[in-house]
Amino acid sequence: MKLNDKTNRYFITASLIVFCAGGILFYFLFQLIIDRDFNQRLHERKEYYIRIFSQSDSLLHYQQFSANSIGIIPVDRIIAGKEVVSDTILFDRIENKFNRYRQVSLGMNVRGEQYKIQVRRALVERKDIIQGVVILEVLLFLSFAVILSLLNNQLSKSLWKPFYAALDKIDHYKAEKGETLEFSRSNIDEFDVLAAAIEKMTSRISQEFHILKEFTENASHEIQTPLAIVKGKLEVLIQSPGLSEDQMDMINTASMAATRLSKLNEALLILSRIENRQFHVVKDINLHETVDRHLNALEELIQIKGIEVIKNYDNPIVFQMNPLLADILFENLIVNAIKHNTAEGSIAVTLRAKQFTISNTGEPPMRDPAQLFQRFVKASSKSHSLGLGLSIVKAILDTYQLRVKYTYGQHVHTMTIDF
Amino acid sequence: MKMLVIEDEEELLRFTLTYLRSEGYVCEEAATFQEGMEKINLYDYDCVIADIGLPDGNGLHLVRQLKSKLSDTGVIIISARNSLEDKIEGLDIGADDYLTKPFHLSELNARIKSILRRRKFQGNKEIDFHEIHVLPETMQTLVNGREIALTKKEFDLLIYFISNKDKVLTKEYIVEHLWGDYMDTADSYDFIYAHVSNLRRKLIESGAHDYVKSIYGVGYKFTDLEAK
Repeated sequence: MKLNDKTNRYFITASLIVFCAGGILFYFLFQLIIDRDFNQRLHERKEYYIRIFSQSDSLLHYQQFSANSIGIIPVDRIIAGKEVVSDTILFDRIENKFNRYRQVSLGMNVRGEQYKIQVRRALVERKDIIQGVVILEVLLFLSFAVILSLLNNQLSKSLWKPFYAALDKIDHYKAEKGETLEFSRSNIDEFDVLAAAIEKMTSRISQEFHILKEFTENASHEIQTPLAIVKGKLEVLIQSPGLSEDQMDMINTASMAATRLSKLNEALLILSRIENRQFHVVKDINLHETVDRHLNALEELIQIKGIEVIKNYDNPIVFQMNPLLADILFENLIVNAIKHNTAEGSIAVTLRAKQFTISNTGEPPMRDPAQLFQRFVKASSKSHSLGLGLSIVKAILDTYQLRVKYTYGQHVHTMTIDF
Repeated sequence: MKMLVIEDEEELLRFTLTYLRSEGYVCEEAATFQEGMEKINLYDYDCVIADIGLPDGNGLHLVRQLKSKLSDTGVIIISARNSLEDKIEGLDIGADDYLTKPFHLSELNARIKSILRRRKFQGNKEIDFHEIHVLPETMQTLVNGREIALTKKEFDLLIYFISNKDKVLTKEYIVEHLWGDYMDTADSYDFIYAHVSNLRRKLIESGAHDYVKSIYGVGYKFTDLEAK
C-alpha cells in the first residue's frame, strides 16, 4: 500500500469520527434552536387568539372551526389564569396520519361563558431533523474526503519527486562499476538527510566491493602459485629413476588432486567474477554459430562416446551478451550433455523462435532437479565432476535476466532457455 | 639451445630449470623484471619463458622489448591469471605461446620444442627417432622411409612422446595435451588407452620397434629399447 493511501486512510478515519461527533452535536443544537423558536411562535399564536376571542361575543361559532390547530371546549368550571403546555398526538386529516403537536391549554371567560382553549402547533418531526443533519453531514464529509485526497495526491506528486528520483538512481546502482551515487539537493530536510546517507553508503559499498574483488583475485592468484609448485615438484619427482609403480601411482594421484584443486579454484574465480558482474563488454552473439563452434570443438569427445547429435535450427537467434560468457555458457551446457550421456546416446540441440533447447539421453537424475543449479551439487557420483558447471550456467543466465528450465522424461534430460 | 626463464617464484623457477636442464638446454634465470630486461638486452636466447605477473613490472613489456630487437627468439608467456585479455594481448605483441599456471613441465617442454622447430630456419625442422621420421609441417610420418597413416590425435601423441622422450607421461598430462581443459571426465582415460594402443599397433605393423612402455595405472614412457 502506498504511503499516500495510508495517510489518506488515517485522515479520512479521523475526519469520519469528527464528522459523526459533529453530527450529534448539530442535532441537539438544532433541536434546541427549533424548540425555542417553536415555543415563541406558539405563544404568539395564543396571544393572537386571546385577542380575537376577548373581542368576540361568543366563542360558540368559533367552535365549529375548531380543528387540530385550535380547540375550543365549553366548560362549566374555569381553571383561570393557568396555562398548561403539553405534547399530544392527533390525527391529521390532511396528511392522513398521526402527528405530534404541542398545545397550550388555558381557561377563558368570554361574556360569562367558560371555555377551555387549546392552541396547538404541529411539532417538527425529530426524524426530519435527523434526516437533514445526516444529509448535510454526508455531503460535507464526501466533499471533504474528495478534496483532501485530491490535494494529497497532487502534493505528494510534487513533494515526493526527489524521493522517486533517488529511488530510480538506487535501482540502477551497480557496485561493481565502482560508482558513488550523487543526488541533487531538494528543499526538504528529510530527503536531503536520506540522500546524504545513501551517498555515504554507496561510497562505502563500492569501496568494500573493490576490496573484496581484489581479495578474490589475489587469493586465487596466491592459491595457484603453490599449486603450481606442488604439481611441478611432483612432475620432477615422478621422473626420478628407480621408482616402483606403486610410488609412481601415489605421485600421480597426488598430482591429479592438485590439478583438481586448481581447476576448482579457477571455476570459483570465474563464478565470482560473473556474480560480481565483471564482464561488461556486450556484443551481438549469433547463437547457432556459437553452438556449432563448440559442437565442433567437442566433436571428438562426442564421437568417442558414440553420441548422435541432432540439430534443429529454425531461425538464427541473435542475443546481446558478453562473448566470453556466451562461450562459457554453451560449452558448459554441451559438455554437460556429453558428460551425463549414455553410450550410443543422443544430443538434440534446438534453436526455435527465441528458444534454445539442449536435451540428452541419460540416467534418471539422482537428485532433486531444483538443486541441480546449486554449487557443488553433482548429478551423478562421478567424482571427477567439480559440481560447478551448472552453477556457472545459472550465474551467467542471471546476469542477463534469463531463466533455464530443466525437465526429465523418458530417459531424456532437457534444458530450455528463452532468449 | 639457450633459454632464459623469468619467474619471480623461486621454487617454480628452481624446478623449471631442473627439468629444462635435464632436457639438455643451457638455461639462464632471472627472478625480477629488471634482471630479465638486462639479460634480454645483453644476450641472445633461442627461447624465453616469461611470467607476466612480475612484482616489479609487467612481463608483457619484456616481450615488447624482445620483439623490438627484431630477434627471432621464441617467447612463451606464463600467467597465473587465466584471463583472456592477457592471452590475446600477449599473442598480439608477438609471443609464440601462452601457458597458464599451474602447467605441466612436459607440456612446457612440448611447446618449447614445437617453437624451436618452427623458428629454426636453417636446420632440421623434422623429428627423427631411430627409424621413425616425422614431418610436422606436412603432418607425415615415415617408418623406415615408408609413410604410415596416423590420425591427427595419434600424430600429436607421437610428437608429444618423442618431445618428452624418457619422461614419465601420466594419463593426466596426455589428456591435457591432446584435449586441453575440455576433457576432465573419468572415462577420458579409456580414450587415451585407445589412442596409444592404436599408435603402437600402427608403428609395430610398419616395422618400428615398440618404444612405448606402459606404467600400470599411471601412464606411459617413450624410451629407447635398451632403457626399457
